[in-house]
Amino acid sequence: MPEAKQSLSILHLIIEASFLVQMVMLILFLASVISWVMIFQRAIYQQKAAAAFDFFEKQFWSGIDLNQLYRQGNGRNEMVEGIENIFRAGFKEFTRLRQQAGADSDAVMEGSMRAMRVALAREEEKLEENLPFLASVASVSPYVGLFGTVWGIMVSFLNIANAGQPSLATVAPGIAEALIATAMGLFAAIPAVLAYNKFSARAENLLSNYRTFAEEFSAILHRQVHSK
Amino acid sequence: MKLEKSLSLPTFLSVFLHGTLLVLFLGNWDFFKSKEEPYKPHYVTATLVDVKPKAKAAPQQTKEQVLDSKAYEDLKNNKKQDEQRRKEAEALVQSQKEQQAKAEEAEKQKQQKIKEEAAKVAKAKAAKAEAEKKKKAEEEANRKAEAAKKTKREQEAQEERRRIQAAQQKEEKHIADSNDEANVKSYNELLSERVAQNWSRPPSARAGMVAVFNIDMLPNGQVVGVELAKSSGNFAFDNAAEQAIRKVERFVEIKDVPIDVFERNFRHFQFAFNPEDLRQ
Repeated sequence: MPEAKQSLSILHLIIEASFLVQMVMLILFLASVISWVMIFQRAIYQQKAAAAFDFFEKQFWSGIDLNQLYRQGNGRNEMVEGIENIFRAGFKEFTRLRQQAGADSDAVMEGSMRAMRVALAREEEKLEENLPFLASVASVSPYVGLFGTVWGIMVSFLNIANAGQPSLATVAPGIAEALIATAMGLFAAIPAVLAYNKFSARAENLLSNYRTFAEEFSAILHRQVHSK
Repeated sequence: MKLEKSLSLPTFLSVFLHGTLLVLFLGNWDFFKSKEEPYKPHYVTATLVDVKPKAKAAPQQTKEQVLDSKAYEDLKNNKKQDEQRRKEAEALVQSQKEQQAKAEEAEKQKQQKIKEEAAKVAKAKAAKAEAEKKKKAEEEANRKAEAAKKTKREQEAQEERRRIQAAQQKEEKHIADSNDEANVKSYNELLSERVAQNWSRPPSARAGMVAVFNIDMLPNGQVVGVELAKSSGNFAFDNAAEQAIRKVERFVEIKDVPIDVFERNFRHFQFAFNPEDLRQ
């Protein structure tokens, strides 16, 4: 009796599990690790993007000359992030089109807005990068865990049938071992669901801020084009 | 390049998180287990209580063994005495035979003498012969009586011996039985405990209900047959008790019973189930 109790540690159960269940556990563990990598990466990136947005908006509305603002970004081309990319794309296109002789004011506006739209799409892509992976981990890993559990219970029941001596002591370890798979699936899925919801909401929020900024910026450009 | 930079920190964080989680989880389990262990001695003492009847039975055995050896010595002494008696009796018989033979020879000689001197005195002769005959008859009667006595004595001795032997056997059997009885009783208690653990009390069960079952068991404690021998009068109670016995399925304790005791008491045996936790 005491031997049976000692052998019922979780580590022991995992080691004793059948190959398929072990594979399922390994997959779920890796999924959990990778999804947490994504979670941390998203958290850091979106934090940075939000901070950059606040900082840039403050600068933008501080009355600074747009040319100077553009030139500030030239020095740190690599480090340019988020909202500044949209501003730079729009402003670059705007200045280029205006320097060309005989450029129509409507065409200038259209060109700069298109450039901003492209930059916006890129930023959206960056913000929502990896979110699909989190979504699939969130939705699939419970099923994978359930599969491992079903398989483990199936095997343990088959063993009981072969042993011909069903008792709780023979059934319990197999089921406990199988249920670890479900536990791991949920362990991987729950943070992924929460993270997916949080990060997609945050990305949506940032994107709407970007869009608003792009509209405001194009309004300023429009005023400049038509002021002459 | 930018992607790599942004991935290294999250990867580290994630792996660190999972590593600490694993260590905490598996480590905690170990702590939990070591905490639980101090309780185990209690269980051990609990099982020791069940073993106590055996321990009680052991000193009894030694006492009775001492008694036994005394009885044996007595028996030995008796035997010696018997042998001595027998020898004496045999010696007596021999001496008597010799006497008899001598007497006969003397008689013959006397008869010859009488024949030779037949003519001398007929009356005296007849009287003498009668006297001799009387003597002879007396002697014979004596002899017979002695022989009868001897045989009687021998028979008595044999009977006594037999009686002593029987008593000894009885005693031995009693010792063995009482020993076994103690064990059987304790095992029976164990069995009813196990059954009571697996028993779900039907609401109609009342105190004093006893259901008797015929149980067939294998030496490893496996129950192979349960049959109601005497109903308690309550169908639900009988059913619940039978199910409890079937649920126990294997009385692990029976493994320790010596095989002869098992064959005598547990191969087919009657098991009376009367749990104590019943309502009035």
